Amino acid sequence: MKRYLVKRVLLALGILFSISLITFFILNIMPGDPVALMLGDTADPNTIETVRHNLGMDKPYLQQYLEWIAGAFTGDLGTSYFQRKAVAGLLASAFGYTARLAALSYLIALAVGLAVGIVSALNRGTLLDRGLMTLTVVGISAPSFWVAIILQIFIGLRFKAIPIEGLDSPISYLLPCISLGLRYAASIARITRTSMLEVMGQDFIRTARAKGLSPARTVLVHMFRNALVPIITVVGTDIGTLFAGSMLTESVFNIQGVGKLLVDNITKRDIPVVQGCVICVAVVCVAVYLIVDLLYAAVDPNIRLGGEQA
Amino acid sequence: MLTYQGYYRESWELLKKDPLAMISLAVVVVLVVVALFAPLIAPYDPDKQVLRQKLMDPCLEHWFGCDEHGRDILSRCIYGCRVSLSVGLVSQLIATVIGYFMGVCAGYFGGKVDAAISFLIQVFSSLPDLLLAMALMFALGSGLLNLYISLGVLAWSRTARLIRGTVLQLKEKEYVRSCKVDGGGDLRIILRHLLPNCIPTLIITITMGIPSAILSEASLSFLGLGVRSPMASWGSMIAASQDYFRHKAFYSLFPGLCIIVAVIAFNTLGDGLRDALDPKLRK
Amino acid sequence: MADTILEVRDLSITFFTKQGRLPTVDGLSFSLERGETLGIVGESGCGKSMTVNGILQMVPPPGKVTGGSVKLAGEELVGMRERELCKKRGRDVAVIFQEPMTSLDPLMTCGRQISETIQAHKKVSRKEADARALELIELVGIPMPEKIFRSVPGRLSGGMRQRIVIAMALCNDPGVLICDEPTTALDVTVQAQILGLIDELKEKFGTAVIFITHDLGVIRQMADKVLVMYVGQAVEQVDAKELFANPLHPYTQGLMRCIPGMDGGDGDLHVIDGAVPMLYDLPQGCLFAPRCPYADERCRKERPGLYGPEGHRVRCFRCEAMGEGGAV
Repeated sequence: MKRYLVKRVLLALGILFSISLITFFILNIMPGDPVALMLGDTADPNTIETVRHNLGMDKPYLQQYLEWIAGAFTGDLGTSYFQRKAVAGLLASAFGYTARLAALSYLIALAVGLAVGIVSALNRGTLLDRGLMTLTVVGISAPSFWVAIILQIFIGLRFKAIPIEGLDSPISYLLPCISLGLRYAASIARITRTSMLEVMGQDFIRTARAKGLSPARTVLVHMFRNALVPIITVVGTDIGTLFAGSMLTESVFNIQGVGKLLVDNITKRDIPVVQGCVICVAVVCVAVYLIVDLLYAAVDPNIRLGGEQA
Repeated sequence: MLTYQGYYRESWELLKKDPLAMISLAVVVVLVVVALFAPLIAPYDPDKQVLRQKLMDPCLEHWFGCDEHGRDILSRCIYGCRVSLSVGLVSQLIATVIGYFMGVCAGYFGGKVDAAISFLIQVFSSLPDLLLAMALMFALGSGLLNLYISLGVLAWSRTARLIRGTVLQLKEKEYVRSCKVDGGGDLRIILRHLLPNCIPTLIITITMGIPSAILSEASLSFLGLGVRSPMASWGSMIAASQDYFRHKAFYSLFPGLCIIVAVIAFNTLGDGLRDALDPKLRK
Repeated sequence: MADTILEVRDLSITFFTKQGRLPTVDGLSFSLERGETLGIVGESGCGKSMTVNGILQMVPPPGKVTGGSVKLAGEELVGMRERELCKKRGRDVAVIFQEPMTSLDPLMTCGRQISETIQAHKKVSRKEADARALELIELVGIPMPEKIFRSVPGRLSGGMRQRIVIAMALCNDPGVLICDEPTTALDVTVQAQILGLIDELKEKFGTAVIFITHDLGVIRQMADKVLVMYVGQAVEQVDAKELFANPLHPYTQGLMRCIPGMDGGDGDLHVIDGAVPMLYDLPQGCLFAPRCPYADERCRKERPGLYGPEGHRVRCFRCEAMGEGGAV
């Protein structure tokens, strides 16, 4: 178990390092000079050169990267070109919004998705099952930003109590959470159904019924627990895209989260901020994958005891 | 052993028996026709601005209404189909070429090559596609060609992973080994023997990859990082509609429905193809 | 009639499929006295396991119990509400299934799987249930019971798992124990141990047992009376001793000849010609007629009933003459 843990952590660090490298070079070796953009068309070349020098942009890329990564380890992600603020600080204030939105959306999606999946599996082939599964197909296919706008139109504008912007009151979470969580609820529902159906046909479920366990206990303790492993995989991959999806939701609902920070600064070409945002999301994703790996071991004692398995 | 021809004929028979797959195939065909013949099908020029038709409600002349510049929304949706489908297809083809070679090399050569490529696969699959695509679009600038490239070069990891698995299985098969013993070159084996066996996997990954590329394109265009104005894309139309949604719900509605229809069609077709092509599911 | 604990009358189970209605179990009747062992024997696919599902009212869709009655200690199970059935299963009637490798939950410790069964039927604390489970694990002859108690099934051999399943089946002291091919999946040596264990525990608990198998040797060792099944029907129902001394149905005779060292006499391994007919394509007459060496015109046209005296019923026209109570 310990070796497994160390191996996973090292792998996660390697992945993060590579991502930082890729992002740095994508963002820095590109056409379009942010300084020229920053100073406007009329700036004279000398001024541009001075500013570039002040920002450290005339150094070799490798040196820039190493300085940046060294800073990142001490919590210094550079300074925003335009806002003259530390990127780390901007991120810290934005991260709370995104984390709250993402976590709440996902928890709701998880609860709804699991419930729908279980109900569908238990009623396989019925009208209810078909109806729910059709809904999940639509849920997976609808772009979240569009769902967001449709929710604003058909719910936000109808019910004045439900705000269509910001995240200031508990009720204001309603629409963003639905729009962000919908596709995850749908995909969780589908994988839960499939996984439950697979487990349902197995012998130990027949044993559980034959020994007189209540249907609830059979379903929740024996079926569901065994169906959980594929579900956890999906949850892991979901969290990554959740942060990406949150960019869109944040910009529709005007929420000052990491996504909005990223989108706003991409148009301004404020590289340090963009870089910081990407790395921030990358850290979250990689951390979640790591946790999911370890969760597998917690759910399935066969993995925990047997070392590595698939 | 089945011949390739027999295999595909049998798959096709299986697919024909799947009503959902056939319906989605029909929808896909319709979408492709619409995209190919957009200039013939669209009732108006998608970029023609008619100021007195500004934000006109849907009516007999303009089924989907008109946008803030008085452009016909139906025509723009039809041209948007071109963007979405071409981005989906081209980016997936790019991804497939990269993914196939990465996956084959990893599976075929094994050892250090495999370790390196597997690590790369993990790196690329641990970031949400959209995020790196945004960074790339940011670096390359907006435009259709850059969309193809960005979405293409980032989507290879899933294909590579699947191909690697397939090749690992194939490598143990007798005829590949015997070919190697006979002194067949690596490239020859990769192209002549492994490729035909990977085609079913590739067909499935392409079909399943198209809808996610369509969604990514829509998201990028929605964020202003996709196509260049005034080119019509479903995502950019939704972005533009945001300013008017208080009074003109229809404007947001139609492009979104187009996305949903296209994504559902490709996803369902992909499911059907997977069931029909996957030898493991065959008895 | 003495102390009848389980009485099955005309049990029919039908599967409603695209190929039509498949009569998986057709008009099966038998009764079981307290402490008695009934052997049900037949080839695979003849409806033995479905009979178990029928008794427990656990026939999976698209199958359904389409007729007959199952009385457990005088109570009718057919049509009983699921909630009530749950109270019966595992307490009054317990099952040992064929596949020990898959019939235990792979994620739950063996001990917990037993104690949850106890808690499902008795109001006892987790601690008491666990203690009882541990006792049972010891009782079924498992070495290092504490360790096994805490293990998940994946770590155990087939024989060990089957012992756990037996402990689980007996934990609520059921009146009826159904063993559905409990040893088929096991090695021969382990098989003998498990059979011995079931026999021993049967005596100890005074449980009535239904023992399902395709192995006549096992039947000879375990059963007091025997029901031979063929394609969902009983073809011969008789006292065990009588069956081995005087098998009447051609199918039973065929089965006996298939076993080396049993009745056949000529020493060669015998094979019953042909294959079990498909449920969607049953012969018009006697179901066994296509494979029967004695079959004549009538056998191919009419279905025989069960003939013979109360103690020895045979589904064959050749025994028709014996009539009710006729001499053999």
